[in-house]
Amino acid sequence: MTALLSIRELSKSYKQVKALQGFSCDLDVGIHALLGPNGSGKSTLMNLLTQNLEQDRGEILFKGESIDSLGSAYRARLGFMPQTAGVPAGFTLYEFLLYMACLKGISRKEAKSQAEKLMEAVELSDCKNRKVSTFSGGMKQRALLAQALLGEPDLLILDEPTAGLDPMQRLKVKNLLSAYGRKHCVLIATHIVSDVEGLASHLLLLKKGLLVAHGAPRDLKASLIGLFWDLPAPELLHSHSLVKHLPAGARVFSAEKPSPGAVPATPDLEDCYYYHFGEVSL
Amino acid sequence: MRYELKKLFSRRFFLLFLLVLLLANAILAYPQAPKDKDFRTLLNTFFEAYEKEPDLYHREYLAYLEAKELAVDLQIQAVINGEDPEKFAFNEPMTLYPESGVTDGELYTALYSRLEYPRSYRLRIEEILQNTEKNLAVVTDPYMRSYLNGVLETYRTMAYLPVSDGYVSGWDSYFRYHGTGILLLAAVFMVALFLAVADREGDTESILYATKKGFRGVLGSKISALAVFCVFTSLAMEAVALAAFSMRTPFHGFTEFLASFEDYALCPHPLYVFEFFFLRLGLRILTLFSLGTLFLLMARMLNNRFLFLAAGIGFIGLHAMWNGGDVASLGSLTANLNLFRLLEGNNLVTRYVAVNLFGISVPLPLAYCVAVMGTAALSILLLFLLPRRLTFGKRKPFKWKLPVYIPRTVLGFEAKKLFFSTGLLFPILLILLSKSLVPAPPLTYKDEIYRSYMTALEGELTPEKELFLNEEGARFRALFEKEKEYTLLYEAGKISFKELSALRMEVRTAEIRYGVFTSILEEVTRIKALNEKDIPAVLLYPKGWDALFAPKIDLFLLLILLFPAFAYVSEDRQGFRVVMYASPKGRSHTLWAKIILSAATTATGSLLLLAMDVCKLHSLHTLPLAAAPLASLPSGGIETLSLAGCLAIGVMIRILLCIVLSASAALLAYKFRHPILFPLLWAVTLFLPLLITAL
Repeated sequence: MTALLSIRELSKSYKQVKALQGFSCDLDVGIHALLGPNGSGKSTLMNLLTQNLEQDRGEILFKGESIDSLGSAYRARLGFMPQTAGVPAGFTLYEFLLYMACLKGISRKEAKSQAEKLMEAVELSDCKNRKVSTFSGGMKQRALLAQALLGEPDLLILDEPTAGLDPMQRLKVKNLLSAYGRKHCVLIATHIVSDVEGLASHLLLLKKGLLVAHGAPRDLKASLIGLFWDLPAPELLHSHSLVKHLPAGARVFSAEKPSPGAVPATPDLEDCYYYHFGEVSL
Repeated sequence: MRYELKKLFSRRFFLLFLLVLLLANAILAYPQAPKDKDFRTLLNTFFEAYEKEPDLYHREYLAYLEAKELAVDLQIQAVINGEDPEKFAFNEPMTLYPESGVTDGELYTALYSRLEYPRSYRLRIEEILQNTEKNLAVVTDPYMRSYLNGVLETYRTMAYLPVSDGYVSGWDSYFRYHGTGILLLAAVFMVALFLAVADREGDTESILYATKKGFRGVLGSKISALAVFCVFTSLAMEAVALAAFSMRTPFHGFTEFLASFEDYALCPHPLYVFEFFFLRLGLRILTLFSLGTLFLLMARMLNNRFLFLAAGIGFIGLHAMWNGGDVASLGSLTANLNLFRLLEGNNLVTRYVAVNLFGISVPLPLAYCVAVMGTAALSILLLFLLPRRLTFGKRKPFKWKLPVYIPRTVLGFEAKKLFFSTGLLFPILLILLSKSLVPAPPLTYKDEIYRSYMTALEGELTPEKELFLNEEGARFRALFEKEKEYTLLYEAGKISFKELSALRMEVRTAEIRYGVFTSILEEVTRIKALNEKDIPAVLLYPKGWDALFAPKIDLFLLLILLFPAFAYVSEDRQGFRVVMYASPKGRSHTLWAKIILSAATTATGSLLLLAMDVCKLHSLHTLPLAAAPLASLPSGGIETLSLAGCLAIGVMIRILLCIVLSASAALLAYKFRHPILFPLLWAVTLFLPLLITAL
């Protein structure tokens, strides 16, 4: 069966810098988290997927057809939320959503109805007639999310969707995305592991333009069993590779049992991130 | 202050805006300069030659006059005998500088009118003094009495001013150019807006106020930055205008008295040209700074970008209205102390002016200083004293709201973004406003004479009109004869010098009229020759049409430069482009919308400017006989197309040009999307031909 989005050997360089090197993967319905540190190539990949950049090599297929040949037909099924984007000065939220709906080719009547629903979904109904330029950072993020959801796109690409949100809003946005991801393909790019903890069904770990690992979170975590240990505080030495402090000690990374009191830890996503992106050596 | 300036100049948009203003100043100044550099340079050479051997040139001048009088005699005799007077037409000799194409007559007229200047200057001042004394005897109004006393006091001193009889040129036209002031006004307006709102909009204000320097320190540095900006921008704009003028006209007489120029003969101060040049520059900087502080205060109090723009345009518009008001109302505060006259500085030196302040006569320089410095002091005081929340606190929501119009199409949304979100509406209004403010150059005395003759002769050439021309020629001849007769009578002691002087003044005026009359005779000959070849052409007053058809730079071409800069650069800077381009209609649809908007706005604006030109030229020169063939104009060649038809073709070409240029500019900007490089390249491409011509 053809995947919704197939990425084949995608490469992109900026002069001497290789931003993406032979990236391949298939994305289908569900929530896919693109994890990687700053400069790993996440933004480049998203710009390629949204046709804001042209690849040097490789291809992107949407339902089996190249997105280059599909052009606007592909973008009609795409929703994109960048990490930050200004909204034209003087536009109210409602106006901005209608403008984006117009660019997406949604009829006026449908656009009005969807705008109302989405403002409610992102809890901005009260700010319908307020200018977006007067919004706080969190409100702007939610406004951008609302525009991305206009037209109920098959493929939703989000860059740091929860950045700048307070914990309650973060939870609500995650719930919204979780529900949306049941029927649609959602790709979330982030370097904040907690953002996708319990949300993503599939992880893509990107490092220096290379896909270093991918799979279900459970599988990725399982592959690291035996490499992380919890130590009581008195046993922690400088020689240990500290992952994080715990209330009663610390978690360290080691291929062997590091001290007599060490207990094998159940790896979580942060450990997974540490393993792939930290300066570790076995 | 350094950081405030750095913030200002690190904005590419602002730099671009300044570049456009500098370019606009050069473009506006260039056509205002008289285009007779070669002639003026030749005049200067001729004056220098005369100073070395005055007697020789005087003898040659007398011989020239004699030959000319003989030719007129023969022409009159020919008319009486029923012969063709053209056979005896005086062929202007070109013996002095044959290769230049300038006749001896033109050179002698220029020379002797300058040699006469000190005497005519004194006569003029004496006449003013006599008339003022007469008026003072009958006037009872306290302001008028005080004003007339001021006139007497001023011009009694000025009567003995040693004005130059040497060659002077260029500075009078340069001082009349007032585009620099208007453009500087726009620059200061933008700077005030930036200084007042940038920190608030950039969310750095709260950080700045929490520093040691705090609110007062930051405000102080903003005011200092404004002052530095006024100084440097004024100098740059002045330099650009001066450079543009010097491409077309030479400057002479920098160290002479300003009153040595005909236009400044009534200058109430014994100022040298160089003194006035620097004084004008200094006063302009002071005025700009004062206005800048006022705008800063306005921006702070209004606390809304669009309200400030509207208020600022209203404020400037009000002054423009006053500027166009009755200049003759000498004491009028609004006519004399409005922005445009203050920035121009000419009002201080064209004649003695005293404003009427509740019946008290206040000399203009004093009123000027009080108004400018008082405005600056009061604005700065209020800026410091007003509660901080006015500017920097949360904006108070307006109780009334304008109805929000939400467009339905991509074109509508793009229009709203372009005109309102990016603020492009402001330069558009500014261009229209500045165009409406720039008055058409006033009619010269020669133009008036030319118009009165041509209006009388308008239409086809008839025997009656030819007879009128012959009679007019005879009248001149009689007057010139009378001068000779009076000279002999004076030498014989039969008439006084005053009587001789009075006649000579009359003859000098008649000589000017005769010069115009001669050019009309040439025009009649040209029309006759065309008619003989069956090319339809009639007599008409051509100045208005000539000015309308003269090649000039359309300010809306500048707007085409601004369009891509505004449309694409702002989208890029905001990071909004990536969202837009990820949508199905975000690319080609928005590009088409931008092209359509750019073409429509430039075409509409361009036609509006043309309409303004037509109205101004019609009211000044009249645009007679629109159905007349184009060949009726001296510059019209042998074209049989009507004048109105030519105008219609011009309109169509303008529209076509706007469409082609807009489309190419939008496509280039879409492709390159660089905030500075693209508009600069475009500017060079557009104005390169003009630059080459200028050089």
